[in-house]
Amino acid sequence: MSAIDLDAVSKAFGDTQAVDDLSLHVEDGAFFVLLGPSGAGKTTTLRLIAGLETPDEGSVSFDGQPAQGAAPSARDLAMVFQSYALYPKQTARENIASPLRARRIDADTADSRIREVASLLHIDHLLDRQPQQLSGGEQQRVALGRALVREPRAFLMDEPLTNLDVKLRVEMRAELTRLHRTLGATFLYVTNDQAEAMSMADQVAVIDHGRLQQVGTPADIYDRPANRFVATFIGAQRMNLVDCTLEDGVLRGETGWQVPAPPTAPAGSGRFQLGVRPEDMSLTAEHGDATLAGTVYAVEPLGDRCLVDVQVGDDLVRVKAAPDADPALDSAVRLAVDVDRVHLFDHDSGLAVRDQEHAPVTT
Amino acid sequence: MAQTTSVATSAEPSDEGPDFEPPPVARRSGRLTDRWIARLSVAPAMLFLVGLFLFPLLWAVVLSFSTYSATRNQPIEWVWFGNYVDVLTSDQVWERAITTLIFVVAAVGLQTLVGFGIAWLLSRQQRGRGALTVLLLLPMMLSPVVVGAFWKLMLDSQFGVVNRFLEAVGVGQVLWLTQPRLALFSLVVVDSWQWTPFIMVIALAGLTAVPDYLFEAAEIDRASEWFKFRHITLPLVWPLLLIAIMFRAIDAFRLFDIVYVVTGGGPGSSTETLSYHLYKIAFQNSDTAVASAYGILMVIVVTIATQFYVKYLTRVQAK
Amino acid sequence: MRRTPTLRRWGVVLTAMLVVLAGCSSGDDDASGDPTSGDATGTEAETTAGTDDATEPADEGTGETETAAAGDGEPVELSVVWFEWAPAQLLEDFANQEYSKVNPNVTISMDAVPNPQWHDAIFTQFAARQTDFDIAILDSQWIGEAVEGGHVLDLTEFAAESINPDDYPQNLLSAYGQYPRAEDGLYDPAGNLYGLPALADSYVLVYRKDLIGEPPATWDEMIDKAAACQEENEGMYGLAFHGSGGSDEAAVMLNTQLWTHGGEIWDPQELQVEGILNSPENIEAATQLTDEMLPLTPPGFVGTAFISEVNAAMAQGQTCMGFNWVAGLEGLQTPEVSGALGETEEEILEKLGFARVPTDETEIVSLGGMGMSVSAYTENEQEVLDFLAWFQQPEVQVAWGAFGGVPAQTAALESDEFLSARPWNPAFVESVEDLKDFWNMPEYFRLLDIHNSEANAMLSGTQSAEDTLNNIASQQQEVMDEIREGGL
Repeated sequence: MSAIDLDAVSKAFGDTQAVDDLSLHVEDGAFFVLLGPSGAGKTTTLRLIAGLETPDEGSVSFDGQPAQGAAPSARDLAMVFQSYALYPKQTARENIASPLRARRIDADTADSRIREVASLLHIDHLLDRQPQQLSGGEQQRVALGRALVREPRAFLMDEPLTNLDVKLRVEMRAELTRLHRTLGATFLYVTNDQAEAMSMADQVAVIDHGRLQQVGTPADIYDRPANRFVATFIGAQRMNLVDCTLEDGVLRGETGWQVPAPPTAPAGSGRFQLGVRPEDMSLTAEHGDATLAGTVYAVEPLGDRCLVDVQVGDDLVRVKAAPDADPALDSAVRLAVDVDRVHLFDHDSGLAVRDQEHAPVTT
Repeated sequence: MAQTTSVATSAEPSDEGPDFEPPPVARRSGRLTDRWIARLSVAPAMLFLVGLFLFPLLWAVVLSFSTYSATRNQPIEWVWFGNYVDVLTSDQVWERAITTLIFVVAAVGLQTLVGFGIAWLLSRQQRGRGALTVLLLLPMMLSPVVVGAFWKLMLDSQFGVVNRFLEAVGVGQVLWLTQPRLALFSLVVVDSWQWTPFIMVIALAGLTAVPDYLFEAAEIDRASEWFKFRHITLPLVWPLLLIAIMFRAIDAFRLFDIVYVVTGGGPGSSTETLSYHLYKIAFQNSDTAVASAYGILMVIVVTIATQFYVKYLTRVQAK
Repeated sequence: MRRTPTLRRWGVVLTAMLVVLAGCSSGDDDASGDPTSGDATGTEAETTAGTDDATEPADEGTGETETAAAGDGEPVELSVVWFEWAPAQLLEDFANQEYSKVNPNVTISMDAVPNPQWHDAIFTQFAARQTDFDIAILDSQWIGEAVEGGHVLDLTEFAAESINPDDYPQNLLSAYGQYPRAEDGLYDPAGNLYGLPALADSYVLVYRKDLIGEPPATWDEMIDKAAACQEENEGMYGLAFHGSGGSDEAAVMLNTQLWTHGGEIWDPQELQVEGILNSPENIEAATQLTDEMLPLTPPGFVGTAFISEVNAAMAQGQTCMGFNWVAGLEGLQTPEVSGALGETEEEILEKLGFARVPTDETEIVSLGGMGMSVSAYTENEQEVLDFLAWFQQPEVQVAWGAFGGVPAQTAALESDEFLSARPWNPAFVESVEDLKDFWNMPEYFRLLDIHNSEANAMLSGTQSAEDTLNNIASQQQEVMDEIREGGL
């Protein structure tokens, strides 16, 4: 088990800057998730850590020891590939055994390790099958087994759940979190699914265009997004962004709505974007202080809730309403904004306007 | 025709429920139906095939039952399977068969080993791989007769560059073409020189198709090079390699040109292959009928062997 | 449901195509209805048959107009097939230079194919019953095969009018044209002639005057001298002779050895080989070849040696003596070839001498050379016969000898022009009456294949003399037995 550090690491492939001046600190024993859209440089980061790529600049170190171009085999890591990378003509048992065999672990020990791992992953009955006889989920578990069968410094997982169907994916999330707790090992997990990140991680690093956008706990990232990118990337429903101007402590929209500026707002005036998550708004009939007027554009009843898209000026604003709300299309509605949970972004830089002292209170 | 049908359907559209008649396409010739147009389109190819392949083949089968000789003016007698019996019971034929078998196994074996080896090295070489591959493919593009002719010169015991080199390094003279075992070995070398690239290029295609992540996984697992080769490379390339081996084996089985040019079957008849023997019977002895039977037997042997091989191949690929 | 009619329809189409093809092939053949129509060279899945059949009628059509036109003084090109060696070029040059003076309308074009393809180049066309050559220069043993197949014109009547048999050494006239051959190997006036001499030839001994001195007269003397020469000259070998496996190279050398030592290779009367070829005397003679002579040759040389290899060995000073065909020596006297021996022809000829083959029990020398036969399918029969008649004129034969060729008429051979034309010519003349050929029968190639393969194995040093002769005898006896059963 060990901590992993990236210090100003950069890596380019031709003209593409895959990783750009990235520094990270992964605590020993953390479940650390690298989150970002595809092409963001997450996988490259993982491969840099694994030693499968060499950084152009910067360094990777384990427990403070720079890896300095050490071969992948010397780094004592286990990795689960997105495509599982199971050896094609070997049984599940042989696949799981391969790291042990390479380390010349005696047959009895190896056998008991394999059985342990197999029962942990519920694949005892699959050990004598070859990969092509296994379903995606089963292959994925064999690949996990191959990683878990020994005790490496850290487990690197590259979107291991992407190829699974939704049901299995959700199941495996829970399994992995449980595994992490049981093992107490460092997990470095790459995904483009924010829900996975939110549900599993101790720490999340959001990456875009090879650059680190924000690091923090899932709650941090959700409640205090550092910038517009993080704000819109995180969350089951995309955060609504509406242009506005700040004047005298009041945010004004183009259609004339007014919302009191949050305490984080700077003094003075300027152009901003108001960010409100759908769950932080509600439909209302009142002409309150912090309400926006609009017309109903679309309604998506989802059983436990109802998503309503409301046309406010040129913007569509999505709101999460009570399941029984069923506004008529094109009818005029008002949206009440939870002023304590609004986010304000600089219109041009996209950075969150934030003052730590007056940060919104989270429970 | 097309027109009348379309008129008919439009006249009574609603009465008979859904109408599955396809919408009218471009106007067609009134005289030729589609089926006949299709037949006429394949006719040239069929004529070609029948005239140049099927007919001569059947003709050879007919001849193989007779005593026909292409150059002799003698009455034809029908001996039915007599020629086949003669060929199959001839000691000479069996000797040639064994020579051919040794050649096929040795040549294809050597080509597979070396070809795969080179392909493996090439697959690990990123820079200049394309140019190197093209360069290595060159022998395959030469005529076998040309290849045979210059190898014959190179292997000449007196003046050949090979022996000159061997003498210079102190090995001494080697009688490449006049000692039975060595002469057969020389043929294996010449054939391999020309055809190793064939195996190589197919193996290379297989090797470059092996996903990198498998090797990376093995690397992280600290697997040995042998493990990577044995459990990743070989299983994935093997099916492709088997196809290459089959092509080469069939080709080597009917080896003629290099024997003809390099050793002429000698010394004695120690390097005489089935094809070369067949050639002598057909063109020197002019025993056309016997040669026809001989040739047909060879085709049968190859076909049967290929059938078994293909069965094995499909089994390997199905796995 | 749909299958059957479709299949039947395709069957009709196929049958129609077969009928069309069959029509093509029977239309241009002798309509005998035997399988000789079509598929000329057909063995396996032979692909040329269809094309042959298709093109033949058109060719015949143009051929007729050509023949007709030639009578009106239109230019005619006569094509000759031979193999690639110096005499081929020589003959083409000679004919075009001299015959054009007589008949300016006719040009001779030589198609010289590589030696191993010589037979096939001629007989595959014969098999097709259509040749792109007019004159075939056949090796003397192939005449039987060509005659039996009806592929060459019977020249007996033509010869009766245009040549005088007494002008020729009788063995040569027989060897280059008669089939079947008389027992004694001499011309049989009652027999038929299918060819007239193109080039005479024999084995001669090439030797290094400067190292050997006088040429050896007997076989044993030759071996002694060769051994001594090899001993005395560092890096040189005593002997060089043919032994390649291609066609008859090794066979001729073996025959030469057996014949000079008084042996025979078969009994033509009884069709007997066993007991004659592998007689104790023959085995002893052949053992001398393997045990005494082969060690005097460069290692690995004989097994692949033919004309040019022996020439090269002599020209580069590698061997003291060598057997070669007279006609194949052309060029050896020149600095271009033998530059290693001298800068001028005179210098070279101070070192190179030529003598008749040494004798032992007999004076027999292996016969080479060949005659011109006329393709039965020629479209220029008259022009060809005119040319042959001209070539056999005594003065033309003398000129041919002077030009560097080897004539087959006594007067020409004895003429000063011939004797002085090439340094080896006197040696040839000495050999003429002792020349001996082997089988001339349709089974020639089956016999030769056995003979040459086994002899090649022996001369490559991979098989003992005794095994070799026994192998040949038993295999050839099988062929002979078949012939006997066949009622020949």
